[in-house]
Amino acid sequence: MLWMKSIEELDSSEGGLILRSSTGIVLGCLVCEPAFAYLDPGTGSILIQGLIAAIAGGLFAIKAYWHRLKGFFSKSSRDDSREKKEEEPPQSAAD
Amino acid sequence: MDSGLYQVLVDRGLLIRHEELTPVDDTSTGTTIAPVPVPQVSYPYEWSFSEYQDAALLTLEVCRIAIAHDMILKDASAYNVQFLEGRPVFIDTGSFEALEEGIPWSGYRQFCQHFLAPLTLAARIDIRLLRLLETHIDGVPLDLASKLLNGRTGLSPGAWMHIRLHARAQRKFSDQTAASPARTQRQVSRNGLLGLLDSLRGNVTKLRGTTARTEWGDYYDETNYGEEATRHKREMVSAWCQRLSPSLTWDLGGNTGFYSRAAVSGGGTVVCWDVDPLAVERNYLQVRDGNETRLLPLLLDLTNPSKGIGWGNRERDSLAARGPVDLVMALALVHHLAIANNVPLDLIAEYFASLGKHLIIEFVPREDSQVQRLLLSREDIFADYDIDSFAQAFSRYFIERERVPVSQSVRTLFLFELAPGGGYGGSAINTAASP
Repeated sequence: MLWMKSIEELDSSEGGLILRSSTGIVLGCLVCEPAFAYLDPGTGSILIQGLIAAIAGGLFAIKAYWHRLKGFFSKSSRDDSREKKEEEPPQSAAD
Repeated sequence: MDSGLYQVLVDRGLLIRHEELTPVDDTSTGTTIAPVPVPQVSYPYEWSFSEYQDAALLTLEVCRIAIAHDMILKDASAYNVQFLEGRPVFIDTGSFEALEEGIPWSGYRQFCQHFLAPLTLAARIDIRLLRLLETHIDGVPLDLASKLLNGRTGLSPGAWMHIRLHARAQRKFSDQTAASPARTQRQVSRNGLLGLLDSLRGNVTKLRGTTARTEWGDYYDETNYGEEATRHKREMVSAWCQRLSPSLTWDLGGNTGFYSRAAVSGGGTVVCWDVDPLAVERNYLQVRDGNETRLLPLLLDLTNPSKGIGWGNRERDSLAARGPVDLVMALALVHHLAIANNVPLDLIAEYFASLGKHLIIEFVPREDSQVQRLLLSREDIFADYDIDSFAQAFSRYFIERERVPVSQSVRTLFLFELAPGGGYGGSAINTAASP
């Protein structure tokens, strides 16, 4: 089974872990046969949470980094404009 | 408490305030707390789309702040949210536990079932699917949600992952036992948890409720009586409410809350119940935008009111079990019940007697154009639908305190007070109503 192979890889490897496990589970779930047993939906929820959290956590980290970067540049440009403003005499004073 | 989480959440109005009745000490195993009472307990299947969405966002925000304090929510039940002073508030102070690094969020499945799935179904398919929670007390099963969403285009990648892929995974791994190695091996970092919450928040925020025109959404633009009748009716409601000063009023069939707002002058909380999801939605948006604190719009089909559900049918109360309230209002409603739904006047009076101690009710006579409109599409089998029969039916349970013809209209407003022994419990009504 494709998904089982992927979980074994997940246990034994570290590099490329997210990509491999996600591909495996996603594909595994797509090709799986419908099973009508209703035993414990919790196991699947926890497994899929691991996968989704890995993807969402990655995106979240990128987003946070991007905001920090944006904040840094907007702060520096604000600082620049403030410095510029301070350099220029106020309009009323100039008049 | 020591983590500072309680104070942060209470200061931001996200968590219900409580008093500790017995303080925690080293010898005791717990403490007894007394939370601020919520005037009206409501359930997810009675919320409009935006009320539901706000409750979902509140749950995620509470969980996010908890993580920042090294705590986490151990569940994500929609029943942990109530509406207080016009805003959703988290009420289950016992839902927090210490965050253990690497452990997945145990509330994830419940959040998807209680919030994301019903909201996605309501936004993508039909607003009425929010009522699925009434038949599925632990939220919409994800395999059902997935089946209903099957073939829907434009499903966001997030919704696809959290609902459809999630359902597939549940089915795939359903034969694993709780102690399976796969379950214990799964690790979710703190960043992963925050990412998960952020993804859920993004998905919930993106959803939009239906804007389709419904039967009642434009009711006040389409009434058959003029400004003077409206003004007079509003004035009477306001005057009677001020006189009675009810602490809790139920405005049944209150539409977008026009007369509920008049009833607020009585000083208490007014719940505006209506069958139309769009009217309830419009009302809630008005409450939210205007920071109104004493009005709560909720969804209710009075011909099939919220039942007692859950264990022994007593986990979530029926409408009647949450009463009786001080005042019930039923304006421009009786003809819909008596004529459109064939409910005999006597049964209407009997049910209302179980709901409230006072009743403001409007009788809409046969010659009213709204009644004529209802009679156009059905056989007129309502020979006893007149003001005398109406007053007589209600006098079996109530004492008539006032009767005021609404100016420039054919309608009449009644103020009733429950007669001693006039109220009936739910069981008496069931017995009486059963064939």
